[in-house]
Amino acid sequence: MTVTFNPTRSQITYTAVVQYVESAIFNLDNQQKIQLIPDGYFQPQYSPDGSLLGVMTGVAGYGTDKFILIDTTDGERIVELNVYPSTFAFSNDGDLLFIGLFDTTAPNVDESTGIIHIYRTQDLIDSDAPEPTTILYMERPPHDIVISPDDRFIATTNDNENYQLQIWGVALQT
Amino acid sequence: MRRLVSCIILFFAFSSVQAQSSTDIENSPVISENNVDELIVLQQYDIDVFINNIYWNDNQELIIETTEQVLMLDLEAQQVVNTPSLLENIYPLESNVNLNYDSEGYITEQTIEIFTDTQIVRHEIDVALESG
Repeated sequence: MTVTFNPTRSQITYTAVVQYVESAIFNLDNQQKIQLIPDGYFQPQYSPDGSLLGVMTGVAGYGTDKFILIDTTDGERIVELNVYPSTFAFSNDGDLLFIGLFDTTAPNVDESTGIIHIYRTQDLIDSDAPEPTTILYMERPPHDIVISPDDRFIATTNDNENYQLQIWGVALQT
Repeated sequence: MRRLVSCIILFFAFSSVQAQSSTDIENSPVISENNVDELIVLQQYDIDVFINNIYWNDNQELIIETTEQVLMLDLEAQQVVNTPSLLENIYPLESNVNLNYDSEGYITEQTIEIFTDTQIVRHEIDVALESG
Protein backbone atom coordinates (compact mmCIF):
# COMPACT_ATOMS: atom_id res chain seq x y z
CA MET A 1 0.00 0.00 0.00
CA THR A 2 1.20 3.50 -0.78
CA VAL A 3 -0.01 6.74 0.81
CA THR A 4 0.95 10.18 -0.53
CA PHE A 5 0.05 13.60 0.89
CA ASN A 6 -0.70 16.68 -1.19
CA PRO A 7 1.46 19.79 -0.48
CA THR A 8 -1.02 21.31 1.99
CA ARG A 9 -1.71 17.96 3.69
CA SER A 10 -5.42 18.35 3.12
CA GLN A 11 -5.65 15.37 0.78
CA ILE A 12 -4.03 11.97 0.33
CA THR A 13 -3.87 9.48 -2.49
CA TYR A 14 -3.58 5.82 -1.69
CA THR A 15 -3.41 2.52 -3.48
CA ALA A 16 -4.35 -0.63 -1.60
CA VAL A 17 -3.63 -4.03 -3.08
CA VAL A 18 -5.38 -6.41 -0.65
CA GLN A 19 -7.20 -8.41 -2.04
CA TYR A 20 -8.08 -6.26 -5.03
CA VAL A 21 -6.55 -2.99 -6.05
CA GLU A 22 -8.28 0.11 -4.73
CA SER A 23 -6.89 3.51 -5.67
CA ALA A 24 -8.50 6.67 -4.37
CA ILE A 25 -8.06 10.30 -3.46
CA PHE A 26 -9.25 11.13 0.06
CA ASN A 27 -9.94 14.68 1.21
CA LEU A 28 -9.04 14.96 4.89
CA ASP A 29 -11.07 18.16 5.34
CA ASN A 30 -14.49 16.79 4.33
CA GLN A 31 -13.81 13.03 4.48
CA GLN A 32 -14.76 12.71 0.79
CA LYS A 33 -13.30 9.79 -1.11
CA ILE A 34 -12.83 10.01 -4.89
CA GLN A 35 -12.41 6.57 -6.40
CA LEU A 36 -9.82 6.29 -9.16
CA ILE A 37 -9.69 3.71 -11.89
CA PRO A 38 -8.44 0.68 -9.92
CA ASP A 39 -4.99 0.35 -11.44
CA GLY A 40 -1.89 -0.14 -9.38
CA TYR A 41 -0.44 3.35 -8.99
CA PHE A 42 3.27 3.59 -8.35
CA GLN A 43 5.07 6.58 -6.84
CA PRO A 44 2.10 8.98 -6.90
CA GLN A 45 3.30 12.57 -6.66
CA TYR A 46 1.36 15.81 -6.43
CA SER A 47 2.28 18.89 -8.44
CA PRO A 48 3.53 21.75 -6.23
CA ASP A 49 0.12 23.48 -6.26
CA GLY A 50 -1.69 20.20 -5.57
CA SER A 51 -3.91 20.45 -8.64
CA LEU A 52 -2.32 17.52 -10.48
CA LEU A 53 -1.35 14.00 -9.48
CA GLY A 54 1.26 12.13 -11.49
CA VAL A 55 1.32 8.32 -11.28
CA MET A 56 2.97 5.41 -13.02
CA THR A 57 0.80 2.36 -13.66
CA GLY A 58 1.42 -1.20 -14.71
CA VAL A 59 0.66 -4.80 -13.97
CA ALA A 60 2.14 -6.07 -10.72
CA GLY A 61 5.29 -8.03 -11.41
CA TYR A 62 5.63 -6.76 -14.97
CA GLY A 63 6.84 -3.23 -14.39
CA THR A 64 5.28 0.03 -15.41
CA ASP A 65 3.87 0.69 -18.87
CA LYS A 66 2.10 4.03 -18.59
CA PHE A 67 2.40 7.50 -17.08
CA ILE A 68 -0.84 9.23 -16.09
CA LEU A 69 -1.68 12.77 -15.01
CA ILE A 70 -4.83 13.12 -12.89
CA ASP A 71 -6.95 16.14 -11.94
CA THR A 72 -7.09 16.04 -8.11
CA THR A 73 -10.43 17.84 -7.91
CA ASP A 74 -12.43 15.10 -9.64
CA GLY A 75 -10.02 12.21 -10.25
CA GLU A 76 -10.33 12.49 -14.04
CA ARG A 77 -7.36 11.46 -16.15
CA ILE A 78 -5.88 14.42 -18.04
CA VAL A 79 -3.33 12.52 -20.10
CA GLU A 80 -2.02 8.98 -20.48
CA LEU A 81 1.43 8.40 -21.97
CA ASN A 82 2.21 4.90 -23.24
CA VAL A 83 5.80 4.81 -22.03
CA TYR A 84 7.84 2.68 -19.61
CA PRO A 85 8.54 5.06 -16.74
CA SER A 86 11.06 4.43 -13.96
CA THR A 87 10.46 7.61 -11.95
CA PHE A 88 9.34 11.21 -12.40
CA ALA A 89 9.36 14.64 -10.75
CA PHE A 90 7.72 18.05 -11.07
CA SER A 91 9.86 21.19 -11.07
CA ASN A 92 9.42 23.38 -7.98
CA ASP A 93 7.24 25.86 -9.85
CA GLY A 94 5.27 23.01 -11.46
CA ASP A 95 5.94 24.28 -14.99
CA LEU A 96 8.07 21.29 -16.00
CA LEU A 97 7.62 17.57 -15.60
CA PHE A 98 10.63 15.23 -15.76
CA ILE A 99 9.74 11.60 -16.60
CA GLY A 100 12.49 8.98 -16.36
CA LEU A 101 12.06 6.11 -18.81
CA PHE A 102 13.39 2.76 -19.92
CA ASP A 103 14.65 2.79 -23.50
CA THR A 104 12.31 0.24 -25.07
CA THR A 105 14.62 -0.42 -28.02
CA ALA A 106 16.88 -2.53 -25.78
CA PRO A 107 16.51 -6.31 -26.17
CA ASN A 108 15.61 -6.67 -22.49
CA VAL A 109 15.13 -4.52 -19.42
CA ASP A 110 18.54 -5.34 -17.96
CA GLU A 111 20.25 -3.88 -21.02
CA SER A 112 18.07 -0.82 -21.29
CA THR A 113 19.64 2.62 -21.30
CA GLY A 114 17.86 5.50 -19.62
CA ILE A 115 16.02 8.56 -20.88
CA ILE A 116 14.43 11.58 -19.24
CA HIS A 117 11.62 13.25 -21.15
CA ILE A 118 11.05 16.83 -20.06
CA TYR A 119 7.56 18.18 -20.72
CA ARG A 120 5.99 21.55 -20.20
CA THR A 121 3.18 20.67 -17.81
CA GLN A 122 0.78 22.95 -19.67
CA ASP A 123 1.48 21.02 -22.89
CA LEU A 124 0.38 17.82 -21.15
CA ILE A 125 -2.87 19.51 -20.12
CA ASP A 126 -3.59 21.19 -23.45
CA SER A 127 -2.40 18.73 -26.08
CA ASP A 128 -3.93 15.43 -27.11
CA ALA A 129 -0.52 14.17 -28.24
CA PRO A 130 2.07 16.03 -26.17
CA GLU A 131 5.72 15.85 -27.13
CA PRO A 132 8.66 16.34 -24.74
CA THR A 133 10.44 19.63 -25.13
CA THR A 134 13.80 18.08 -24.20
CA ILE A 135 15.23 14.57 -23.97
CA LEU A 136 18.19 13.63 -21.74
CA TYR A 137 20.11 10.39 -22.12
CA MET A 138 21.95 8.26 -19.54
CA GLU A 139 23.48 4.84 -19.34
CA ARG A 140 20.71 3.26 -17.26
CA PRO A 141 17.09 4.21 -16.47
CA PRO A 142 16.97 6.75 -13.64
CA HIS A 143 15.92 5.58 -10.17
CA ASP A 144 15.42 9.08 -8.80
CA ILE A 145 14.99 12.59 -10.19
CA VAL A 146 15.07 15.44 -7.67
CA ILE A 147 15.23 19.18 -8.34
CA SER A 148 17.12 21.52 -6.01
CA PRO A 149 15.04 24.07 -4.05
CA ASP A 150 16.53 26.97 -6.04
CA ASP A 151 15.77 25.20 -9.37
CA ARG A 152 19.43 25.32 -10.45
CA PHE A 153 20.29 21.62 -10.30
CA ILE A 154 18.72 18.25 -11.01
CA ALA A 155 20.11 15.16 -9.32
CA THR A 156 19.52 11.71 -10.83
CA THR A 157 20.58 8.22 -9.82
CA ASN A 158 20.85 5.04 -11.84
CA ASP A 159 22.42 1.62 -11.37
CA ASN A 160 25.09 1.83 -14.06
CA GLU A 161 28.18 -0.17 -12.96
CA ASN A 162 27.55 0.20 -9.25
CA TYR A 163 25.35 3.21 -8.54
CA GLN A 164 25.72 6.49 -10.33
CA LEU A 165 24.76 9.95 -9.09
CA GLN A 166 24.60 12.73 -11.68
CA ILE A 167 24.08 16.45 -11.14
CA TRP A 168 22.56 18.27 -14.12
CA GLY A 169 22.55 21.99 -14.73
CA VAL A 170 22.28 24.52 -17.48
CA ALA A 171 25.31 24.79 -19.75
CA LEU A 172 26.93 28.20 -19.42
CA GLN A 173 27.86 30.23 -22.46
CA THR A 174 31.62 30.52 -22.87
CA MET B 1 36.12 1.89 15.50
CA ARG B 2 33.54 0.24 13.25
CA ARG B 3 32.26 3.65 12.16
CA LEU B 4 35.80 4.81 11.44
CA VAL B 5 36.46 1.78 9.26
CA SER B 6 33.17 2.31 7.47
CA CYS B 7 34.03 5.94 6.78
CA ILE B 8 37.38 4.97 5.36
CA ILE B 9 35.77 2.37 3.10
CA LEU B 10 33.22 4.90 1.88
CA PHE B 11 35.94 7.48 1.28
CA PHE B 12 37.58 5.16 -1.18
CA ALA B 13 34.23 4.12 -2.64
CA PHE B 14 33.56 7.52 -4.21
CA SER B 15 35.15 8.91 -7.28
CA SER B 16 34.06 12.06 -9.04
CA VAL B 17 34.33 13.20 -12.62
CA GLN B 18 34.42 16.95 -12.91
CA ALA B 19 32.82 18.32 -16.06
CA GLN B 20 32.81 22.00 -15.16
CA SER B 21 34.71 24.16 -12.71
CA SER B 22 33.31 25.10 -9.30
CA THR B 23 33.04 28.69 -10.56
CA ASP B 24 30.47 27.49 -13.09
CA ILE B 25 28.55 25.73 -10.32
CA GLU B 26 28.34 28.93 -8.30
CA ASN B 27 27.02 30.89 -11.26
CA SER B 28 24.78 28.20 -12.69
CA PRO B 29 21.47 29.75 -13.79
CA VAL B 30 18.01 28.62 -12.80
CA ILE B 31 16.57 25.82 -14.92
CA SER B 32 13.45 27.11 -16.63
CA GLU B 33 11.22 26.40 -19.61
CA ASN B 34 13.45 28.71 -21.64
CA ASN B 35 16.74 26.89 -21.12
CA VAL B 36 15.75 23.33 -20.29
CA ASP B 37 17.14 22.12 -23.63
CA GLU B 38 20.63 23.12 -22.47
CA LEU B 39 20.87 20.69 -19.55
CA ILE B 40 24.18 18.84 -19.23
CA VAL B 41 25.85 16.70 -16.56
CA LEU B 42 27.89 19.01 -14.30
CA GLN B 43 29.12 16.43 -11.80
CA GLN B 44 29.05 12.65 -11.65
CA TYR B 45 29.78 10.26 -8.78
CA ASP B 46 30.11 6.48 -8.72
CA ILE B 47 28.88 4.99 -5.45
CA ASP B 48 29.55 1.41 -4.39
CA VAL B 49 26.49 0.91 -2.21
CA PHE B 50 22.79 0.82 -3.11
CA ILE B 51 21.16 4.26 -3.12
CA ASN B 52 17.76 4.04 -1.42
CA ASN B 53 16.75 7.64 -1.83
CA ILE B 54 18.04 11.13 -2.59
CA TYR B 55 16.54 14.52 -1.77
CA TRP B 56 17.56 18.17 -1.43
CA ASN B 57 17.27 19.78 2.00
CA ASP B 58 16.44 23.45 2.56
CA ASN B 59 20.13 24.36 2.63
CA GLN B 60 20.64 23.30 -0.98
CA GLU B 61 22.44 20.14 0.11
CA LEU B 62 21.72 16.84 -1.59
CA ILE B 63 21.10 14.07 0.95
CA ILE B 64 21.88 10.54 -0.23
CA GLU B 65 20.43 7.64 1.74
CA THR B 66 22.22 4.39 1.02
CA THR B 67 21.80 0.96 2.56
CA GLU B 68 24.73 1.72 4.86
CA GLN B 69 25.01 5.45 5.42
CA VAL B 70 23.34 8.81 5.02
CA LEU B 71 25.60 11.00 2.90
CA MET B 72 25.60 14.62 1.86
CA LEU B 73 26.84 16.10 -1.42
CA ASP B 74 28.75 19.34 -1.15
CA LEU B 75 28.24 20.81 -4.64
CA GLU B 76 30.82 23.55 -4.28
CA ALA B 77 33.54 21.28 -2.93
CA GLN B 78 32.46 18.51 -5.32
CA GLN B 79 32.64 15.77 -2.71
CA VAL B 80 30.33 13.46 -0.82
CA VAL B 81 30.62 13.45 2.97
CA ASN B 82 29.33 11.07 5.61
CA THR B 83 26.61 12.44 7.89
CA PRO B 84 25.61 9.79 10.47
CA SER B 85 23.70 12.35 12.55
CA LEU B 86 21.03 12.58 9.85
CA LEU B 87 20.03 8.96 10.35
CA GLU B 88 17.57 9.83 13.13
CA ASN B 89 15.50 12.16 10.96
CA ILE B 90 15.02 10.37 7.69
CA TYR B 91 11.71 8.60 8.31
CA PRO B 92 9.17 10.96 9.91
CA LEU B 93 5.93 9.22 10.88
CA GLU B 94 3.12 10.56 8.73
CA SER B 95 0.95 7.57 7.98
CA ASN B 96 0.46 4.10 9.27
CA VAL B 97 -1.23 1.07 7.70
CA ASN B 98 -3.04 -1.37 9.99
CA LEU B 99 -4.08 -4.85 8.90
CA ASN B 100 -6.42 -7.03 10.95
CA TYR B 101 -6.55 -10.79 10.44
CA ASP B 102 -9.16 -13.47 11.16
CA SER B 103 -8.40 -16.74 12.89
CA GLU B 104 -7.34 -18.34 9.61
CA GLY B 105 -4.85 -15.63 8.83
CA TYR B 106 -6.85 -13.80 6.15
CA ILE B 107 -6.87 -10.01 6.18
CA THR B 108 -10.32 -8.80 7.25
CA GLU B 109 -9.75 -5.09 7.68
CA GLN B 110 -7.31 -2.57 6.37
CA THR B 111 -7.02 0.88 7.90
CA ILE B 112 -4.84 3.86 7.10
CA GLU B 113 -4.06 6.14 10.02
CA ILE B 114 -2.95 9.63 9.05
CA PHE B 115 -0.92 11.66 11.52
CA THR B 116 -0.55 15.34 10.81
CA ASP B 117 0.88 18.25 12.77
CA THR B 118 2.95 15.99 15.03
CA GLN B 119 0.05 13.65 15.80
CA ILE B 120 -2.38 16.33 17.03
CA VAL B 121 -4.90 15.32 14.36
CA ARG B 122 -5.55 11.74 13.41
CA HIS B 123 -7.76 10.41 10.63
CA GLU B 124 -8.71 6.80 10.11
CA ILE B 125 -9.76 5.66 6.66
CA ASP B 126 -11.30 2.27 6.14
CA VAL B 127 -10.11 0.80 2.89
CA ALA B 128 -12.68 -1.32 1.11
CA LEU B 129 -12.04 -5.04 0.90
CA GLU B 130 -13.94 -7.19 -1.54
CA SER B 131 -14.48 -10.86 -0.95
CA GLY B 132 -12.75 -13.08 -3.45
